[in-house]
Amino acid sequence: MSKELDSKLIEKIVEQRNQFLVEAKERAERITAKAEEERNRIVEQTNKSIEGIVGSELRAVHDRIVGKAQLEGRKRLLEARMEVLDAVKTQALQELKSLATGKREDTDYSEMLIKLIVEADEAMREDEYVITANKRDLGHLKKSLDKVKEALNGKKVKLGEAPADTLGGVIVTTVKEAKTMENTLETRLETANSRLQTEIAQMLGVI
Amino acid sequence: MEMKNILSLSGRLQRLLAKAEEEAEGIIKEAQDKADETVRVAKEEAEKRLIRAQYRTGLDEFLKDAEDEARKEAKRIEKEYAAKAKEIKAVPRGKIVEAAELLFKEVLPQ
Repeated sequence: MSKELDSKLIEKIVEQRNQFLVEAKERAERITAKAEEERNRIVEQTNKSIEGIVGSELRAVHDRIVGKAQLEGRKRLLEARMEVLDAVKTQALQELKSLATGKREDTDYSEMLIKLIVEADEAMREDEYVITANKRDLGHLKKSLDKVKEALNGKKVKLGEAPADTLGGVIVTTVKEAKTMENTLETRLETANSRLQTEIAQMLGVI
Repeated sequence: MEMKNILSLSGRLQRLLAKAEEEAEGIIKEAQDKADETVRVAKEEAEKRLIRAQYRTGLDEFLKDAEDEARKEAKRIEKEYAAKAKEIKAVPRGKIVEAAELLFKEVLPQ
């Protein structure tokens, strides 16, 4: 009976001893964590104070390095966009070459040349014109000269002697005041490309 | 005889408890001393850094830290832009052709 009591007493005391130590270790951990927290607060506070004192110098360093990276990054994006938009323009130019050389069957090229002349007439509103084009297109126009005159309501039209160095389309010059309208495929492509640049960029999802 | 044994055991156990209590206090004291030292060193270092900043001594050190930080940020920015540029260039060929057709039609007279 007494041995049983002894054993219980020892067990209880050992348990109490262990409890003391566990609690002490826990408290020590809390003390350490709190000190670490305080140390971090001091460092952070000091950094803020230093930034306040030498802030302009630090900001200048930051802005110089980060600003340069941002500028170069934006330049890189712009170059990437231009590369894609140039690919679109190159492809469109290929299609125009196909059209001018009769490889596209969905458009009547001779009819298109007449429309380009009519457009020029609507812009210049004169009575007499000289029309220049490349050798191939001058050939088309010679064949359809009557149609051209008819489209211009009987206005006087002469074809230029010297072929123009162009992919296709027409250069229309007035006889009276020597006004010229370049309605060539290249000129029209440049104009259309400038006009549609944003729309194309959005369509491709590169903006 | 038995009573004597009990008293003797009780005394030993009380000593054991007292020793444990002492050990626990030691653990706490040691932690507290270390904590006090950590905070003291941090305060001392902070004070030194502040004085150096006020007198503009060791400015190079601050500038170097700021430069290192800025370079890290710049690298991150460069990576982000490079990824975006790569994404832009990866436009499928079909979409280029589709856009070119739109441009082509715009060139034609209406």
